[in-house]
Parts: sequence; structure tokens; C-alpha cells
Amino acid sequence: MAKRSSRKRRPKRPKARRREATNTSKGTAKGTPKAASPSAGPAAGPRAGWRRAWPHLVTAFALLHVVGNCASAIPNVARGLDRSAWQDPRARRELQAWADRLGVERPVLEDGVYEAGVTLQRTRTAVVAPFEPYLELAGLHQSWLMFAAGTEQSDRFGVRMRRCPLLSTRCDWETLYVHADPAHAWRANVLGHPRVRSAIFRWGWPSYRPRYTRGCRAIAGLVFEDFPDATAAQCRFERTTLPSPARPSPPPPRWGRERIVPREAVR
Amino acid sequence: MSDRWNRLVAFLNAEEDARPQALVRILTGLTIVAHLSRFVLSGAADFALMHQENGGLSLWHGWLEPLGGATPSLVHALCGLTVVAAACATVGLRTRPALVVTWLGVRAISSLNPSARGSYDSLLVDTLFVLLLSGCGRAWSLDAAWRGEGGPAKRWTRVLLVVQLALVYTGSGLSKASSSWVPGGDASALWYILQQPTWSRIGELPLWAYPVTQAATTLTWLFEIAGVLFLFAVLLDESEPRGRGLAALRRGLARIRFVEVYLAFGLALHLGIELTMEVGPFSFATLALYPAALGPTRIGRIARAIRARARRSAPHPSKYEAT
Repeated sequence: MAKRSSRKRRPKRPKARRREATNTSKGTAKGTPKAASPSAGPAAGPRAGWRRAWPHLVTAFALLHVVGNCASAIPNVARGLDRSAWQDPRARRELQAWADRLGVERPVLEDGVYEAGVTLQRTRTAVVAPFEPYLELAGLHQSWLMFAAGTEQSDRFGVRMRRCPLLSTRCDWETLYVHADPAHAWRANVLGHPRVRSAIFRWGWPSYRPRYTRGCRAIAGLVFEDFPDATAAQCRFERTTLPSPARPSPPPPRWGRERIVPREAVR
Repeated sequence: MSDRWNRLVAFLNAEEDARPQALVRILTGLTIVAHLSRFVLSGAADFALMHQENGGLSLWHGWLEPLGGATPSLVHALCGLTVVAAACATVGLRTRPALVVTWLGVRAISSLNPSARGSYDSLLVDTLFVLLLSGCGRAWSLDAAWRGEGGPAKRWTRVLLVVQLALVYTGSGLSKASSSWVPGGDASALWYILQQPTWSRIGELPLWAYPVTQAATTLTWLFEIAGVLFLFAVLLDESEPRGRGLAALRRGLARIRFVEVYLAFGLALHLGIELTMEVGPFSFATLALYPAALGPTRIGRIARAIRARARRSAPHPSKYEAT
């Protein structure tokens, strides 16, 4: 009785919907969904034909979606095939570790890895091609290259500015921002935001040098906006070797890869 | 038509409780609202998305090019519209149109500066695309409560969401081919990653923590690579396989509660990531997919348990009568 009275209090639904929902609540009472019968129903007119065909079309679409996305999930190694990036110490250390493990010389391993990478990329391109229009239209991407390696060397981004001309000895550089340093947190809300950090993180790699130069110019724009007496802004990276049991006392951090933007260079 | 195809059609087109998909909708919507609001309010959106011509960091105008480019007013309007649409999707108000606008909005925002994209952008777009095809607005939504649009949802979209979750983990595991991840190496990946100044919340780790991070590295890699097995476990759990081998695998996976254990480990992993690293909304976007894997039975069980606990903790009317 109590159950019936609680049901009466529910808001009214349109008839068709209510019937559908009631059917399902029966079907799902024990968590067992109500199975759709693909060939059920009388065959009367084109509408009924569509209704019968619909579950089949949905299934075909679901399969297309799954196969296309699985193909797209094959690791995309296009960026890794830039051999100039392999000269970075972090990449060199990784290749050396594999060469030691497999007992081959690093140059031999590098050639083998490059060839395997090219083959994988060609295969990926061929497999994904038929699904490309669909994936593109729906905006679907399945490349999950996240923290692919842990390296003992890492980069920390920093920004400095000065208030006297570049060649003058009257003043020194003033540190404004260093990643994750509360003592130097100028515009940390902006520069420390995950999306901006994501862009800055990429600048640390050799292939992103042009973007680093242009990005530093944008940051310099913020510096000159906040400090009207600033004459120049500087972006740089601190290369840190992290300690580990194998190397508990690593060499001290070193700043480098500076980009200097004088005020005149920013409109 | 083959019997196997008909069974697949019946399985995917079955109607079921819409609550798991509704939960995915709510969690995904909340993730977008929270992330984009912070992005805009911190001023980072202006800097990251605006074109360099307008003082921003971007070299592209993206989808805003035909409208005049990534100018401050257009970037604000785009972010504002996406937040409002995501909020509507969260509460289930005009759910499907709201999801369509959110899906387009997130795509447009991430087109403005590919350098400032994260994996979470792809994951959110992938999830939103499936949600907008689903019946996720038919439960726990204003559409259901006010407009009588409640009811069951088709199963196939929930299956696609589980496939998405498995692809994220498996794809991520496959890309971790470094000697510092793969078992047999020095398993040092997390030791270094957790101390990366760009992402770390905790700074330098004490040396005694090294073996702990080694164990976590190997467990994380195994967890991610097992994403395919997880997908099979969910599908087997919800179907009635006819083959003897598959039936035995289903029983075995059910006995060790593989799905529950896998999701519990995943939850712990994402909590660990959130506590130690700042990587944007990736963990929340991934966890938003978990209700799809839990499915109607487990979600129903959890909802019943919560209701029962709430009833037990509510003061009994007789208490008031006595006073």
C-alpha cells in the first residue's frame, strides 16, 4: 500500500514514455536489462521496416566507432621520428639504457628503432585512413602518450626582468617567476596553470625552439605590462639532475637556454 | 543473418537503467565547468588562447578564424558559452542540445592553441561525443523530472564509454615503452616523474621512498596494460557467453572480482596522481567514466546502500514523540 501511494506522487509523464519506463523498471529490477529483439514486430510498411533495421544500423555504427578508435589508439610515433630530438640528453640516456639491456651499440639500436618506428607509423597511417573522415568529423583522438618516460634530468622554467639598459652594470636581473617556487610567483596563476605549463614544458625540447622564442616574447609582453620601468625580460630553463640511490648527490642545477626580449621588441 | 550478429544486436540495443550514463554525464559536466571556470577566472585563458597579435601565447586562431580570430571578446564568449552549456548538461536541462554545444565548445577551445592542449581535451571530446548520442538525460536530470523525459537508456552507448576507458589505459600503457617503465628495467619512472618541477606538487622525495615508487611504477604499468582484459571482464560480466572457454574466463574473473579490484586500483591511482601532481583535469575526466563500467547492477546496489544508510542515520519520528 505504502509503495502504491508513493508511486502516485511521482510527476506525470506522457503516456508513451511512461509505458516505456515501466517496462524497463521491470527489466532492470535485478539489474538485468530488457533485451531488444532485433527481429521482433510485425512487418507493416516502410516505418516498421526502419524500426526493424534501426538496431542493426546502431550496431554497425557502434562497431565502426570501436574499430576506428582502436586503430587510432595505435601509438602515434610521428614526433618521435625526429632524430634531432634524439640528441637531447634525456633521449640519449633512454636509448643507452635499452642498448645496454639488449647488448648492442647505441647507433645500431638507433637505426633499428628508427626503422621500426617508420614501419609502425606507416602501418598506423594505413589502418587509420579509412576511419579518418569519421574520426575527424567527430573530433575523436586516441593518442595517449602521457609520461612516456621518467628521466633524471628535468627542466624548470623561470622569468627575470631588469630595469636598466641591457649592457649597463647599474642594475641586475630580478627573478620574477620560477616554476613551483612560492618565493618567485609573479603571475603564477597564469604561468602555473596546467595548460600554460603544458605549452612551456614543450619548449624545453629542441624541436620546439621557435615556439619558445615566440612564447617568451608573449611573456615579455606581460612583464612590460606589469612593470612599466622594465627594460628587458628574460626567459630561461634550469636543468636539474634529480637525485637517486645510484647518484645521491647529483651536480647542482644550471640555468641556461636564455631568451632576452628588450622592450623595443614588443609592441 | 547469423545468430551471432543477432545476439550482438540484442545485447547492444537492450534497454537498461539510465543512471550509470547519467552519472558519467554529471561528472563530465562538472569537470568541464570547474576546469574552464578556473581557466578563465585565473586569467590563464586570455594568455593561453589568445593569438600573439592580441598579446596571447597562441600562434593559431583555430575555429575562431572565420569570426575574426582569437580576440579577447570572442575567447571570453566561447569559454562562457561552453561553461553554461556544460552546466546545463550537468543538471540535465535540454540535455542533448547542451551536450552538443559543450562538445563543440571544448573542440573549439582546444583548437585555439594546440600547444596548450592536454590529453584531457581529447578524453572530454571523446566522452561528450558518445554522451550526446546516449540517453544519459533520461535519469537524474531536469528533463526527466520536469518534462517527463525519464526512462531507460540503450546499452550500446554505455559500452562505448567502457571501451573509451579501456582505450585510455591500454593506449597509455603501450606508449610507456621506456626502460624506466617496462618491468625488468630499473622501474624508476615514477621516482623521476613525481619530482618533475613542471608537474610535481610535493617537491623532492626522500631516498627511502625510491623502492615504493619502483613498486608503484610496475603496478601502474601492469594496470594500464591490463585495460584490454578489463574491457573483456566488463563485457563478459554483462553477457552470457556460450563458449566453454569464455564462460570459464567469466567465472574466474567474477570470482576474483576483477572489475571491482581494477576500478578500486584505478581510483587509488588517480587519487595518488591528484595528491602528488598537478596535471589538469585528466584524473576527473577519466574517473567520470567509471560509472559506465560499474553498470546498472552495481550502481543500483550502491544507490540502495546509500539510501539505506541515510534512512538509518535519519532521526526516527518516535524520538520526537518521546520528547
